[in-house]
Amino acid sequence: MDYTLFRKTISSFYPLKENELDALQQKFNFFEAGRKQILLEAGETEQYLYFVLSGIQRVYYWDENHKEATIVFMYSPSFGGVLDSFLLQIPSRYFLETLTPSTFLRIHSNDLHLLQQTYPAIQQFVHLGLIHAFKGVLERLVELQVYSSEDKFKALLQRSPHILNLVPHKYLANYLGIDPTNFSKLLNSVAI
Amino acid sequence: MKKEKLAEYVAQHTTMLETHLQFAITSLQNLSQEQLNKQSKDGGWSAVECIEHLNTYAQFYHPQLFASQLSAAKAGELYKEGWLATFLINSIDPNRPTKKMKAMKLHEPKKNQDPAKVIALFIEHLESLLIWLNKNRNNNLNKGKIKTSLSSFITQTPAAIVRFLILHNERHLRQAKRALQQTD
Repeated sequence: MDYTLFRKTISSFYPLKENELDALQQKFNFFEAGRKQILLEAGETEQYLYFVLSGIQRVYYWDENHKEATIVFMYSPSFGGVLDSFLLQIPSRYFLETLTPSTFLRIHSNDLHLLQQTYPAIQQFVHLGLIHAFKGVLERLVELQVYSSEDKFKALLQRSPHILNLVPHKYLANYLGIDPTNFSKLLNSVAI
Repeated sequence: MKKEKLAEYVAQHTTMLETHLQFAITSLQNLSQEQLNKQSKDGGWSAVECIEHLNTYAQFYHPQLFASQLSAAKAGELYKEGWLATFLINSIDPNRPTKKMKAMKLHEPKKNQDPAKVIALFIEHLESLLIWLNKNRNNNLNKGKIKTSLSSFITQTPAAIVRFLILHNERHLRQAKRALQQTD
């Protein structure tokens, strides 16, 4: 298994020592899934933190009235998963599914917990990662409440220019909270 | 007669579905209405009409497939196909010399559809068939009766229907590509 991307991604974010990186790497195991496979169902407790090697996934809310909200997309190279369920070890309110064939490295919550107790730097790394995730959530709240559909569409394309070719547009429309018909109108009208 | 094991059959059809999804996602959904609506010069269908035609098949067969109750397959179970299934599948096989066929009324593409909606629906159909096939990958797809759109008296197995649907998708996706590649 090649951990180059994994180590490089961590190092560019937080300065871990070689032995700390080794300790982390040892507990992150390879995992793969085909397109449209559910990795976590609402009601289950998330046991894993994922590092995405390839593919795109999403965390979404879905209820009996078929109300659906795509909360976040996951791509390579980044960490992700249903973080609240994972860290609090409580049943998830959300689903995690692959939108394309995907490969991951993932760590079990017990293993991460142990590593955090053993290595203060790993604790710090996770802490900082969470703060950045929180920052992302706040920014997204602003976008959802303040931006027009067109602004949201443009912001998405600036952040992830290739996403139009990677996932069905209905998931993008759902993520932005706009109607799929509106999304295709934007696609045809907004100069890209 | 095809002699492959059901497991190989599932793997092969999953790969084809994946290829079709990639084409729809990377290409079709990003094309303009004008491109998708471009009429074929030989008087044949535009790309969006090809896809709309495929959607009518999914709409007819998917609800039946998804409602079918399947039981586990024996290890090493072979894919089976009756003579009529072979005939029907051969008639739409994209790798055989193509005979121009007339679509049945039920499967004729409706006029003036919103291209974006047609493509989105097609992607949804492919995704749901992929999920279903994955869920049933260890089940006996040779058992079960799916009514055909020829007549509700003529039934076929889920395995034969899925093979038909996926090869039929391949046939008309090729046709859609030809319609898109025409130069003015």
